[in-house]
Amino acid sequence: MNAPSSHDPVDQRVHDLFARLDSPRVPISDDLVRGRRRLRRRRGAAAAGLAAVLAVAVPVGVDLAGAQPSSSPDAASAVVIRGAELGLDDVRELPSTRVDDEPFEFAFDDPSTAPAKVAVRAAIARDLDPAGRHLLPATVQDWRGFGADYYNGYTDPDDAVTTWFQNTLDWTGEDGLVKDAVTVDVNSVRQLDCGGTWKDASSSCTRTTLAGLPVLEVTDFFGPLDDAVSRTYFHERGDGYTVTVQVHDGVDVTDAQLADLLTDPEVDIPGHPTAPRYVPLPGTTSRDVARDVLGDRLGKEGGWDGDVGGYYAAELAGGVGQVDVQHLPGAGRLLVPCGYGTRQTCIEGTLDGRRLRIDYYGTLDEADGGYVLTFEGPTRTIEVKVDADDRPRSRLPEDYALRIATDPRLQQ
Amino acid sequence: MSARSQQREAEFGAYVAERRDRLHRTAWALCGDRDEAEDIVQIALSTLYVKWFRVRQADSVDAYVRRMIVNTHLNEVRRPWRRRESPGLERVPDEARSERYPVESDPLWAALRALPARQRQVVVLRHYWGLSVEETATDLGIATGTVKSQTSAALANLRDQMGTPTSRGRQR
Repeated sequence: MNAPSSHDPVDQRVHDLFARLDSPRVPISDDLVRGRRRLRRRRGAAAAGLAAVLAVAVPVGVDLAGAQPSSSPDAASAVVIRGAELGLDDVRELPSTRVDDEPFEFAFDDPSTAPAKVAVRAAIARDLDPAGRHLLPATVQDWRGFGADYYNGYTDPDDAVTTWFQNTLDWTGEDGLVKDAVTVDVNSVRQLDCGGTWKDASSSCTRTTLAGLPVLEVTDFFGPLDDAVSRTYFHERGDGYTVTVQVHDGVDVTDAQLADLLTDPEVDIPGHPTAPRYVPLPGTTSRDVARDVLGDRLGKEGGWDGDVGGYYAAELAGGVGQVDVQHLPGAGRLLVPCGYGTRQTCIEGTLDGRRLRIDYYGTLDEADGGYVLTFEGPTRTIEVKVDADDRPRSRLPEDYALRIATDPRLQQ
Repeated sequence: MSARSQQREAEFGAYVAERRDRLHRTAWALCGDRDEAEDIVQIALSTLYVKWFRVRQADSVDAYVRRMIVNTHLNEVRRPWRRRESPGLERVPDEARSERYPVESDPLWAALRALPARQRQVVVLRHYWGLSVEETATDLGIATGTVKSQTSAALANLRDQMGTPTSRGRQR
């Protein structure tokens, strides 16, 4: 099937509509400057723990044998997965295949989500508006989504697996104006950390309590004069999910009401085979694994967080590169096969029956070479990203990354 | 500045000069908000800048960037702390906004905004970029059958909603 025909009046109207969209208002030069500024901010965040990605690609052909590290240490030559000692030699290479695996996603009006919608709205009404004076009588105003989804990871931390849903309700203020003003969100992946993400002049972030409940409070200022305010409260539950409630100006609720909503058992994701409950990992797990595996190769550590989608970053000793470790909840459907997007040199294989992928950019003899090793474990998918600095052959051998990725502590 | 950096500046700058308008319109159609669209494009371009030497090896830089736009939009939507319309902005009369962005007063625009995210993505990629089913499937990482069904559902939704008032809750 080719692109849609314009014979359909709707097709033609859509075409016409898109043709009327204006150009950006800022000149390109400003846009490029802002881009570099944003890049610098990201690099600033890296200094605080989130490693910036500065690698560039020089794709060449590298086979599995070529991927063997030239100086594999004895200590890094074996890994343990479910009792089996395995190493790179045990990786069984698979022919590169394209898996047309459709991400799971609920349809907008999927009736199976209806009970959850109603339950969440009932919780919001019960906790924030018990007298029924503010929430509109409609059942659900806006259901933003729910499901377990993945994105085809260009190795960005944000391209993570996430189970989530979000619901935004309208609220009638005392002034009688109706506002899109209360948003409730449940998410399996959240980095509860005021560093990095919220380093923005228009936001502030602090750890505080709401009626005794520990939360992260983010205040956003926006609007034409930065005079509008929303407050967002994040509460990490014991099961690893994070409940978020965002309220805008004019939503007059007490701290106790917000705390009730954040802990309301009805604010939940209904069970689904592809949206399993994940056991949260202690925040130091990735750090401990990386420390044990890297040993003397470990340089300055960056940061780690305690959330389900945990993230750890560290420089290598001597500043020759960096290692990022991220564990993503879920197993089974997450490993995007080689051949997708821009990967030029990519190896797929299995290790102890579980899928593994090494995605290279650059070579040992090129500056800025690196790779991303992804291991689809029984509980989580582990991604170890290795970047080298400008010096050729400074890349951390793959054995190390493999040992980190397959460490059973990350599969608890 | 090294020769490599100069090369990146030149190539990246040329690409942005050629494609930024189109990317911005794509993001605007996806998110429905011109300001947010500029942010989305900015995020995507800054990522592209970092990965330029890698991306330029791809068969299609456009495809790579389109995927970034789509993913950036979804990531932004999923962030509860994202910039949402403020109550203050919502008090701005619709007429004033329509003067600034006339296209947003088109009933079709409201209908497009009311589509589920996946359907909207399919419509944008197929109708604005003119991609085939197969290309759209590759871009979105979904099955071709899904593209077909989502396209069909999207057009049916648009036909249903055009000419009929949308619910106020969806008019964002």
